[in-house]
Amino acid sequence: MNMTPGLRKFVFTAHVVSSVGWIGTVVAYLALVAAALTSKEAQTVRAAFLGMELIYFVLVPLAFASLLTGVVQALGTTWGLLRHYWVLFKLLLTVVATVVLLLNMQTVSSLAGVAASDSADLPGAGGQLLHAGVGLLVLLLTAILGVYKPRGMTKYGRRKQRELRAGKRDEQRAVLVP
Amino acid sequence: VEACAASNGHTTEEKTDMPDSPQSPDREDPTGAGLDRESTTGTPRWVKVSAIIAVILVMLVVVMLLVGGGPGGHGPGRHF
Repeated sequence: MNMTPGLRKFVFTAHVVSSVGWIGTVVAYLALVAAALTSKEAQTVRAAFLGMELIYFVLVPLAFASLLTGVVQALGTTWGLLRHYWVLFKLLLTVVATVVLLLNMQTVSSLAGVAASDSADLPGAGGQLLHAGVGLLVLLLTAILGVYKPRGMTKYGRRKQRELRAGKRDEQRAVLVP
Repeated sequence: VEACAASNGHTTEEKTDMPDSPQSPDREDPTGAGLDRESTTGTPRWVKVSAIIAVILVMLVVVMLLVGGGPGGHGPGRHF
């Protein structure tokens, strides 16, 4: 199932924009985490946690857009979703990053709730540094995989390639010997 | 190049439109020998190394979760 060149370009653009946007948003999130960790002003720390919660309104749609456009692009081109190891790795990393992002959402909401309350105790942001830091590394890894596309086909990919070649040989024989 | 593109079911224009098509890694190899080699060789070394690293990291995360008191220990309450 191959897409038309126009549709392929559109999906490719959407995938690049959402993936790069996701990375940029995580970097902005890390800036808020750094503010929460280093600031001595209680108001700044509280504002940073509220900002982290708000950033999730951008992070989650970008994550799903990146995942969805990546899957559509893989299925709509000759790359396939499970034929090349780099595509498979990229898919797994993106799924893991999205799941951890969603699981962490509850934690961030809770932290923001405490920060917004009159409580004298301010929440710690060490866990957020770990989540966002590792998340950024994972996203950078997916970007590297997407650019370098290291060689290597899965067993399924090799089988599909053999089937494709056999089909083409049969077509050529049919043309040569009517 | 055209013949190569045509044999893969794409026109030359399409190939130019999509620089990251599966044929791209073999652009330097117009004979297509690279693609043949790829299809016959087993799992590449980078995949094996990455898989080992992934398994180690997953085990590390599981141990950290268990040491932290299981799934109950990983959550909002942990950060106060």
